[in-house]
Amino acid sequence: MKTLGQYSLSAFLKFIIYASWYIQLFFLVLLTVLLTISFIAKDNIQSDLTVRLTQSKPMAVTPAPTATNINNVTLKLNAGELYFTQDKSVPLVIYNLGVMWIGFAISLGITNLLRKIFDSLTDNNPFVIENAQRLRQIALLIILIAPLTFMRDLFLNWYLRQNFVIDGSVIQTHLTLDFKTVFIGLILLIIAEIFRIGTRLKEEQELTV
Amino acid sequence: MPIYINLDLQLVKKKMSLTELSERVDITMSNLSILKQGKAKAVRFSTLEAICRELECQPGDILEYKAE
Repeated sequence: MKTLGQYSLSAFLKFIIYASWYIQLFFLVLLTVLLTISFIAKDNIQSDLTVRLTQSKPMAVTPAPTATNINNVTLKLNAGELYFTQDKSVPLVIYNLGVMWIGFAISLGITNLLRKIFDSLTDNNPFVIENAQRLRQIALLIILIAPLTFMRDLFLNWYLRQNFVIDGSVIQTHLTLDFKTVFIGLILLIIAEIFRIGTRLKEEQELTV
Repeated sequence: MPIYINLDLQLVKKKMSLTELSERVDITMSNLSILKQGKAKAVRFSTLEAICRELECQPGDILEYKAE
């Protein structure tokens, strides 16, 4: 099976990556419009948080005394999801849109870099210095996911503790850092460096008479 | 780069064009141009031997070192 050039595996994957790029752009615009309309049209927002529970016994989740404008709290034990409605506010809008845009920005950034890499693969020219730089940028974006996710979880944990109680008691929350994602990013950094060395070797070989 | 290629001088002495040299030593015009313009990063001994054979000269007549 041909892996590089026209009508190859890389050409097939390039098609998928290009499709993914346009689909992501479409959903970014669509979700931004829908969220904005939702915030403008409704007085309160239906939200859901995915929570990981350390106990499987039924428990009553209610708004905390410090909660502001939280209503209709429901915990779906099997799905690990907490549903509630909240009066809309500017910080809520900013948080939701911000999280969505940052997520899409990283995803679109990685997809765009992959598009350019696969353009060079279908041209049968993988060892160019730009590809080494793109791989490095992808690695850094992947590594960035872990601390951003950690910060989001830090905020959500605080939000849970501030606004909800389980069986009348304050919720105990835990935080973990996604080392797996960081590890993958570091491996990709090494691969980017190997690519850079390969590009240099190719250039030397081409300029050897 | 401190190594200079004096191919032009030897070609003039032998009254040979770059195209003719390329055909005789079986090296592409593009590679010979890279060599002539000083963009080459390395020269194979086989290439140097072929050039010296056709131009009837020594490697030192083609390659010159000048400290920068």
